[in-house]
Amino acid sequence: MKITVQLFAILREAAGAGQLDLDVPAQTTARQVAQILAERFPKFRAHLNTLSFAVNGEIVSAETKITSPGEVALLPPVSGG
Amino acid sequence: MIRITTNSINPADVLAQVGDDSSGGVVLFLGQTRDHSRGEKVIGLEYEAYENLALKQMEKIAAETRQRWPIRTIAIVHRTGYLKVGEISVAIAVACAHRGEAFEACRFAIDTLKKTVPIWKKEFRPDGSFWVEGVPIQIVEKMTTENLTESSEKPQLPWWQETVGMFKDDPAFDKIVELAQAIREKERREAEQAE
Repeated sequence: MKITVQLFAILREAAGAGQLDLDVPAQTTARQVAQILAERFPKFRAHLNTLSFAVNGEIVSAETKITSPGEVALLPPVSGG
Repeated sequence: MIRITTNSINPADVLAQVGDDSSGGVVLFLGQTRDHSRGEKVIGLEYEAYENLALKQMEKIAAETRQRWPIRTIAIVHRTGYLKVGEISVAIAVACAHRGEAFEACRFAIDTLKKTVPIWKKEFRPDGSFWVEGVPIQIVEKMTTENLTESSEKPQLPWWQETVGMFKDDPAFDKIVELAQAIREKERREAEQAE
């Protein structure tokens, strides 16, 4: 299943890209997407426990399964304002 | 008006979006980039947004604020990109019939924005650039006035160091001491028996 992963801030810099295409098994959870990327980008590891997730523009829990191709966003703690 | 922009924010434009003849109080909040942060000099800030979701969250903040206060209109604008010190990063204007609700609603909107909108900032300092440590993104509808109090205003003490009340002259104090002594005494006896 093809997904597009959106990366922001510290994760975007760690990966050197704001967007990545990834092929993952169906039923992969949002958290597992982050774990898969942490193998490719070791700097992600320090952030795995503080991440939040959005799937197709909706905030979801880390255990949400991704059931169709789409966009998964890894959201580090926010600091707007 | 809900907007994310890379252009500089003009407060007059934001104010022009709110208020009508039925509004007796208009509150405008401007967040601007500060020249220091946790004791470090700051030269500029860079803001980055997950724009689709950020706009959606800002719409939710407007809707939630409307639901909680009788506001006439609300405008929320956030800037992204690189900002020099002193530039406006965020503007929120709220118009209500009365000033009290306008102040409260505006306060709720800005406090909620900081915790629920996917925007990140990076500080540029003489010694380098650093992403600001944020808070895990939260759900707009779950924000309460209590959990919005800024941490800088409310020192975060571990629960056992917080003073929740005094019971020096309360008869309950003697009773608690008595009970605690009884428990300790019982434990001591049990420990002795176990040996």
